[in-house]
Amino acid sequence: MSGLRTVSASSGNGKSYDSIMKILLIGDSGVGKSCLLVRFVEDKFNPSFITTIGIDFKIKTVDINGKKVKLQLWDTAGQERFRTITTAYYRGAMGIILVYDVTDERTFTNIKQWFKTVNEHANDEAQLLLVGNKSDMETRVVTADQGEALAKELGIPFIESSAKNDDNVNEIFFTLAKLIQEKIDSNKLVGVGNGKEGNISINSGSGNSSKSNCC
Amino acid sequence: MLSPERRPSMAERRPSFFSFTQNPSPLVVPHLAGIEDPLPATTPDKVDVLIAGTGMVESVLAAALAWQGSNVLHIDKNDYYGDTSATLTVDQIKRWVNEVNEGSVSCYKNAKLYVSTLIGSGKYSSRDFGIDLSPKILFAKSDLLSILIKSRVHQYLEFQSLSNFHTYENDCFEKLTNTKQEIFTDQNLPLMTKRNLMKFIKFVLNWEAQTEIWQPYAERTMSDFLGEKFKLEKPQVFELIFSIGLCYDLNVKVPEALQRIRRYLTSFDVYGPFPALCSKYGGPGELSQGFCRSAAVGGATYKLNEKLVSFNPTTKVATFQDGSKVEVSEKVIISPTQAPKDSKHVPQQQYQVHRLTCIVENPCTEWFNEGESAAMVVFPPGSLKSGNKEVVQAFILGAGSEICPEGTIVWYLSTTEQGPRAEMDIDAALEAMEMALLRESSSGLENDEEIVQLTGNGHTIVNSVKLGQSFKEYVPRERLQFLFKLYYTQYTSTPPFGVVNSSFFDVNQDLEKKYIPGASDNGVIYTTMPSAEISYDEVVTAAKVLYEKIVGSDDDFFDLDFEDEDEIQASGVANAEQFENAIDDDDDVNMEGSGEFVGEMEI
Repeated sequence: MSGLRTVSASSGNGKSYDSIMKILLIGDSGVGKSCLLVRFVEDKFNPSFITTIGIDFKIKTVDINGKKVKLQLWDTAGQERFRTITTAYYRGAMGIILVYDVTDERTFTNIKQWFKTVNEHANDEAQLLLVGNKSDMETRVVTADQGEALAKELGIPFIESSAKNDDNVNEIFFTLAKLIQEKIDSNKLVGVGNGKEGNISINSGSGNSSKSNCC
Repeated sequence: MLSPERRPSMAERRPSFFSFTQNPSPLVVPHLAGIEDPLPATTPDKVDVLIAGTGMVESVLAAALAWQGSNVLHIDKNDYYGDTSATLTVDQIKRWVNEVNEGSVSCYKNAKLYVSTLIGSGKYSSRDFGIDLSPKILFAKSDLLSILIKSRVHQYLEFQSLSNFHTYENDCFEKLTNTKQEIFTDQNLPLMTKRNLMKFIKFVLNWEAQTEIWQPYAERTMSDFLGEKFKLEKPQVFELIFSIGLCYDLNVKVPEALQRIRRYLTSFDVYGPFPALCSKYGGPGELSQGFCRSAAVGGATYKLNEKLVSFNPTTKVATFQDGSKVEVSEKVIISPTQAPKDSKHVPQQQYQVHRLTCIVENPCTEWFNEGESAAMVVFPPGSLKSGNKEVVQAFILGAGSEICPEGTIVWYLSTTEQGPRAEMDIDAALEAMEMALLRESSSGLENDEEIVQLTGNGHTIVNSVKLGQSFKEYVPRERLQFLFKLYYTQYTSTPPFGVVNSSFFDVNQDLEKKYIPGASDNGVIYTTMPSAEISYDEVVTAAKVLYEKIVGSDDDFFDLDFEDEDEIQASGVANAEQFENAIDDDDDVNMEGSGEFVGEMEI
C-alpha cells in the first residue's frame, strides 16, 4: 500500500473542473437509462443494451454558464428490477432523472412510485427531471401531452428523448445541470467539493495509475 | 496462480474481453463490462451461488464472487439491506425490536426500546437517524480498506477521520497520548516513562521478528509483559491495551495484544494524524450496501423480501416463501438470521455481545477533535462503579457523521461481558458518560483553575479539559434528555478475539456430509454473526474463508483492476499532502517493513 496519499476533497488546487454534480438515473428496467447514459457520454448507441449490468457510473465534464462542471452520472446497476436499489445510491445526489418508455404504459404509471421512493431517500433539494424515452418509436402509447401533464403534477420539468436517434439527449443532461447550478448559486444545494469538509479521500495514489477517480 | 479449470471471470466471459495474455492477473475489467449480457425479466432459474442475508460478510462475498465470474443470487428476508449489519431508521428499529421479542429474529434477544415522543411526532423524524446494529470503525491500514479501493466501492462512500480515543480512569476521561510529539511534549510524563514508551512503540512495529523479547511472555498477560519488560506503569499499560489495542480484558495474550496495538500504530498517519475512519450515513449498513451495488454491477441479482424456505441438496433446488425456486449449481450460503424454518444445522452461537445504543439531545462536541464527529471511549476493567471485569467500549458519533441531526449525538456502548453483569457494566458506563456530559453542559463551571487538574494518582488531565474533571464532587442539576435507548443482546459463534484467525470462521466444515432427515438446511453453509469487534477486521477473513470454500482457492479474491475509463484525474486529486509521520519522524523504525495488513496476518 505504498503510495497512499492524503487528499482533502475540499482542496481545490489544480482542479480540472469547478464543481462535481452527482446525477442519478431511475426508472423501470428497459426504459433506456443506460442507453441515454452511453449516448450522452460516449455518443454510442447499441440496441442490445437492454439491461444494465456493468455500468456503475460515468463521468463527463461539461461547460455550464462558463463553469467546468464534472457530471457524475450513476446507473442503477440492474437493482431496479426488483426495486432493490440501495438507499446508499441516493446519498448526495443533486439531480435525479426519472425515465419512462413512451411505448410502455406500465413504465409511465410506475413513475409515481419512483417519485415517491426518490422523495423518501434523496435530498429534498435534489433537482428532478422527467424523461420520456424512445420518442422515435412508432409504437408509442404515452403521448407527449400525458408526459407533460404528469411532470406538471409532480412539479418537475419534462423532456422527451430518443437515445437511438440522439434526439434531446444532450438537452436532458444540460437542462438538469443548469437547474442544479442555479440551485447551487442560490445556496439551496451544496456542491460536492464545497460542503464536504472533513471527508477523507481514500483512493490510492500515484502507485497505481489505472485507478479511477473518486470525489 | 490461476488454475486452468477455474471459472472464467466476469471480465473474461464477455465478448469485449480481448486480453490474451498468458496470465491475466490482475484482471482488467473493461468499462462496459457486462453490458452485452441481457438480463432476464425474472429471477434466474439457475445460479452458481445463492446467498441469503445482506450483512457485511455476505455482501463482500457476493461482490468477490460476482467479479470472479460466479452467477450470484443474493437475497434478504428483510425489506432493507444489511441484515445483521443494517443501518436502520427509528421506525425500522421499532419493527426490529418487535420481531426480536417475538422470536422471529434469531441470534438477538432481550431487546428493550425507549423512544421519546420528540422523534416521530416532535421535532425529529424517524428518518433523521441511522442506527447501526453492529457499529464499526475502519482502520486506515486494513485488509478491508484495500478491498474498498480495489473494488472501487469506496467511490460509493464518504469517510471521516476518527482520532480521539479516550480512556476512562478514576472518574475521568483521559485523551490518548498517541503520537510521538504528544509523548514528548506531555509535561506530565516522567522522562523515564517517555523513553520506555518510545522503546515499546519501536518494538511493536516489528514485533514478530523479535521473538527473544516477547516469546518468554507468549503465554502470559500483556500487562505482565509491559510492566516487566518495558517498565511501563498502569496508565500507559491501560492506554496501550485498551485504547490503542482495543482489547477486551486484562487476560489478553501477548501476541494478540501486540498485533492489535500495531494495527493502531501502522494505521496512524496513513491518511493523516488519525488511525481510523468512519463512514458517513452509517457504518456496516452503508458498506454492505456498497458491496451489494458492486456485486450488482458485476452481474449479481438482488431480491429483498425474499425468504428461503428450504434447500434440497439432492436436487440442488432452493425454494422461497413466494413459491419461486432456483437451482443452485454450487453453494448456498446463509446468515444464521436468515435460516429457514426447520433448520437443524445453524451453528451454536455461544458468545454474547451486549449493546446499548442511545441518542442524546445535546450537541456535546467536547468528545471530538476539531473538525471530527467521532470518538471512542474505553472503560477499562475495574474503572466503573460496577467493578467491571471486561471492557465497555463506547463509540460516539455526532451530527457531522450524518447519522443524527444537529444538536444530537449517538452513543454505541457494548461489552463482551456475559450474562446479567453485562447490563450493569453498560449502565455504569452510561452513567459516567451522562455525568460528564451534564457537567460539561451545565452553565457556569465552578472555577477555571480546574482546567488542568491533578487526579488522585497524580496524573494530570491535559486534554478534553472539561470532560477530564473529576466527577467526585459533582452533583448533576438535571437529567440528560435521552431521545432513544435501545438495549439488546446479540449472539455470535465468533469469540471476542485478539487476532483475526480464519479458524474462527471455519465452523461447519463437515456439514455437507451430515444430512439430517427433515432439516430444511441440509448442505448449506452458514456465515458467522458479527462479533463484538469494533473494527472491520473479521469481515474480510470471514468472507475469504467462504470464498475459498466455493471457488476452491482465494487466489483471485478481488483480484481485479478496472480499465480507466475516465479522464485522467491526476490533476484533480494530485494535491497530496503528506502528513509528517508522528511516530516515525526521528527514529529508524521501519514502518514499511511492518506494513502488512493486520487482518491478513494470520491467514
